[in-house]
Amino acid sequence: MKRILSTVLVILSCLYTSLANATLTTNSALGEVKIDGFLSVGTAWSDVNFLASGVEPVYISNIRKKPSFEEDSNVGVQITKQIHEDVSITVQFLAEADNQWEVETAWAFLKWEPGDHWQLRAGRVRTNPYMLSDYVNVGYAYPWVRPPEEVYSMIPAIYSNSTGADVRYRHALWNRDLTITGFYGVVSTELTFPIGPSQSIFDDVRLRLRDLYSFNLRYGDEVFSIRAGIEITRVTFDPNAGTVMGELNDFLNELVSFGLISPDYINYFSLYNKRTSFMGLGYQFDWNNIVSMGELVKRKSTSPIEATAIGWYLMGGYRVKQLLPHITFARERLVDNNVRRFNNIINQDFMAFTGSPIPLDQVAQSLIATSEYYNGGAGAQSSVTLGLRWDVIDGVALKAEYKHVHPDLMSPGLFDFNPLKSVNIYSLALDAVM
Amino acid sequence: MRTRLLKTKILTAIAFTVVPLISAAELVVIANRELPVTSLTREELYRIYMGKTNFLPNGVKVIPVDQKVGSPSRDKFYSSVIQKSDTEVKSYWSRVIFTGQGYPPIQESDDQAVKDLVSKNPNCMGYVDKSYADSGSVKIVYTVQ
Repeated sequence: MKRILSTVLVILSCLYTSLANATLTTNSALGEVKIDGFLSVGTAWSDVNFLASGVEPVYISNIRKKPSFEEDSNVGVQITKQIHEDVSITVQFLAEADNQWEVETAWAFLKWEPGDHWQLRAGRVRTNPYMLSDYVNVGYAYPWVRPPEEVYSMIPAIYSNSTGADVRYRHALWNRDLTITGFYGVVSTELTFPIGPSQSIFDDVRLRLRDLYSFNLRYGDEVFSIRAGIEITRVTFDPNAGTVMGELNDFLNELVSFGLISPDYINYFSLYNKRTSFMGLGYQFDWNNIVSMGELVKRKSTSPIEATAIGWYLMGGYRVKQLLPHITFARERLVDNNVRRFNNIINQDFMAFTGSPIPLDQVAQSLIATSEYYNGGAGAQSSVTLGLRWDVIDGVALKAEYKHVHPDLMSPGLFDFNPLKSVNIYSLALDAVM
Repeated sequence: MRTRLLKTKILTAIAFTVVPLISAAELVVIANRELPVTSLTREELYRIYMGKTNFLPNGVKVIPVDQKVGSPSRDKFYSSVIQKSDTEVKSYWSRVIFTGQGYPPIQESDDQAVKDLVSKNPNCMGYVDKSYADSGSVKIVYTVQ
């Protein structure tokens, strides 16, 4: 944290010096330092009931019965300097409430744009598995408080912060733009997992995405556009000794060594170069005050701790002056859930050896569902959202949303525990850009 | 005789006050005299002002000059040429800026400032009320209907 802050200070002071020296030639805007920012303050709460066991199901890790600001509050500052006629440097710092407002570098790239057609970027660049990935942190840029989580929770935004290079080719075709983007890079990030039986201490485990390829195609204009994207990568993830996942690995390895179960279960909760892919289709429509958007995505996983899943949403709205009332239908379902793949032998051995009152199935299910970045065992749900966006003044929008979430039978949906009934989520947000 | 004179005077007065008002409502897009272009289409203006291109159809670099929110010329330009509200435009640019794809055109406060900038910079163009488009320093490349 200290190191990040001092880095920010050093960069800011450098920029300040260059700003002071900059001669503002409006002709080419060369040497001009541009500083832009965005801010979202959002709160959300649910009307969930406590379960008989006294557990309160929590929605997407942050939304509880008591209003909290964690899910939808953030602030970002972006600094761009043109260092040559067609070369620029952009750095974007982002601090999110659900990350204790720690400052991270969301973007940091050098861009070369030799003409209208080609653009090359290298550095910390965000890949875009989703239609709104590029600006998913900028609440002002879309109608909702947060984009539909049935689609947008499949790959957490943190996975998109990659280091690599991308090439964009843009060509005007029948008066509309055809944009093709290709990216190659890697992601290295830390996931948080509980340690020990009480699960109240957390451990950071490194997750790596190697050989991350991403291709995106977009065609259209501001009235209507369609996009298709694909992302392919190899995932490596090895839980540290002492974490619940690490201990479950040890337990299963032991059963294998006794010859009780097949060697398939060795390091069951680890991933070594596991191929994962993600595909998405989407459209945007905005004409004569009618606004509509939709996306369909598929996450394909070959790992036992993450399910293959499909998600989609369909949104429609009608702009009345500064107001945009809208409605969204969304659904996420599991195509193939390997997570609960333990047979009776394993479940009984698990209970006998560890003294656990619940079978491994359920432990794995709750563990993977509660882990902030895994929803392998969860996810099947439908929802309807009614929302209103009000553009109060230039650059400031107020939003209110009511969301009715209906988890599938036997699935916790995007809750950490099955709430056993439908739940309403209420959200309010203030989004600004400056 | 007297009434006739009065009538003529009134008519002249009306003519002098109303005619400039009519022409004042006419908005034109001007370019520096050295910019190698004689006319632009609405689609070309849209692409230039929305940052989709930095070049004229003939490949010459162009720098569009915008006006600040609230100026009457801006209101007219955005409603007739770009056909988007201030809110939509702001939202559009927030998507472009925060993905590192580009920046909106430079903004000046009024017609006079735009004209001054355009007349001094060979690659510049901008929109102003027709009364500011004197043929000495700038040329008209589009007339807003």
